[in-house]
Amino acid sequence: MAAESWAVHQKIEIPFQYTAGPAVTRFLEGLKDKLIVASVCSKCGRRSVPPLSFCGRCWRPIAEFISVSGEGTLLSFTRRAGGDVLYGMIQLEGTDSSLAHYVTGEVGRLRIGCKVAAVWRAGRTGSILDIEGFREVGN
Amino acid sequence: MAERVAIVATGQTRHTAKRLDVNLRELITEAVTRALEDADLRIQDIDAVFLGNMEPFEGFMFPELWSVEGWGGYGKPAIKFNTGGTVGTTTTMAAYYYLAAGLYETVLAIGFEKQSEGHTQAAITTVGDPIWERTMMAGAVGNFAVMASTYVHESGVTPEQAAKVAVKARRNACNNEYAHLQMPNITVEEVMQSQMLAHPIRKLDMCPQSDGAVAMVLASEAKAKKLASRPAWIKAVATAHEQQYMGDSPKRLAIMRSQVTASQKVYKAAGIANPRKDLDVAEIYEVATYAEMAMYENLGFCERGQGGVLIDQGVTSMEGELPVNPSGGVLSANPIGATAMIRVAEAALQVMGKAGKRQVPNVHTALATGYGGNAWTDALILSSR
Ligand SMILES: [Zn+2]
Repeated sequence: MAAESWAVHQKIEIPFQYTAGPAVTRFLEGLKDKLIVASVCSKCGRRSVPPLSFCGRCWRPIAEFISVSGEGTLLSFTRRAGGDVLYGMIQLEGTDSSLAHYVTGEVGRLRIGCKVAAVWRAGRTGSILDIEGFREVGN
Repeated sequence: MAERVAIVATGQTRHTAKRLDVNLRELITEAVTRALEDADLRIQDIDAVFLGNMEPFEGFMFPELWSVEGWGGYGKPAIKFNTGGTVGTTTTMAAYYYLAAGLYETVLAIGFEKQSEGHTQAAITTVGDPIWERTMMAGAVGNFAVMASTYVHESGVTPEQAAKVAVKARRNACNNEYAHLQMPNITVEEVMQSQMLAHPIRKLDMCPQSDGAVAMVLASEAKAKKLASRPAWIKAVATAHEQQYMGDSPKRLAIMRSQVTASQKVYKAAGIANPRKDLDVAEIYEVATYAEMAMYENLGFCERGQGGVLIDQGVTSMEGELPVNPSGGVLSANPIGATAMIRVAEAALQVMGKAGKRQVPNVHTALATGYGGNAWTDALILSSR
């Protein structure tokens, strides 16, 4: 390989906004009232959190939205080295999907398949972080 | 009826962490020049160019425009693709479709990435849903770690079995002059003691970030027979999509719907009843050690839950019944936009009998896969006949 050539260093910031759409707007509004909104497809019955406005498998709009429990099952988790937060995927009771969120616990002690429940923050603003995370509950 | 199509030549750069001696355009030219030399062709003999890259990993959009004279696009029909990790296989398959339709006779396919130029993990974070995914899980490692934890739970694979995958990959890579990580003395203990990145994934369980490019010449049947004594015929291609956000497939990695769908389609089209017996070699897009074992299961190399047993028994080693990734795989080189095409090029080298020190004896049928995007799989079967 030949000698190094020169390099130019730059940093770019990209301002950005993301439109939530009608189904996710319901979800975000619900969070303020400690409600977790799921969508229900009228054909296949799939219940999704976060909710969908359209079932791409059945190719039809979704009109039914329900609120589901903040309790669920821990499907997976990890902890980034150097950090003390754990995060994973949680399947909320009565739904067919799972939600990415923080989990409280220890890597050595926490078990996949355990029951967890949402811990709500005070002063909720309609953000996914209105849920502080999920903690293990006895079963 | 589709025309028969073959890969007749390949070219790669030596993949490495940082190619500070050349710019992106010059890096691509290196691979293209080698592929043309391999085919004994001039750029004038190429009808069209298809290229793939995962922008904005380099920090700018349209890298193909910045580099057009470097890949021979000047004055030619060309299409650029970006499908994430699968882009190298997507690009190969696009070239295949055009040739199979009889529109061209000789096509150049290129994959490239100069990951050292941009911030790959920042770019990967933009893949996540801005509302519920970016906040928790950023980058490739955390994402794979979450999947791996489910797979460990479902299949019972151990960190030791994962480490054996890492050892196989980096030792195989020593026979591949293009591989980024060549570690002849790597041990299971070393992998198991390497830095924890995100539970359960350690540093040596994960692929590196590389600068590199790959190019292939594909040709129609009549041309292929003139250009190569033993072309690698493309017998079947398939692609399958998965979920639209992470939680949409709760047991991701343990159950990889797109790997099952895409592989079953190509097996059926190529008349493969038992992949472990009927395939002579596989070059798969494995990304992490745990993913390789999960893929054994999802690609039908073994029953569910047996991925760890396969590595324990050496079935996928160079001497085994079905060698997987003689090149060292993604664990030994990952210039993302090139990575999936490297799988195809390496599978083609095996079929053509041109794989040098990493050649598996008597290869007639090879599988190559791409994996990426939102758990999306591409699969191709190459054959000597
Ligand atoms: Zn439906």
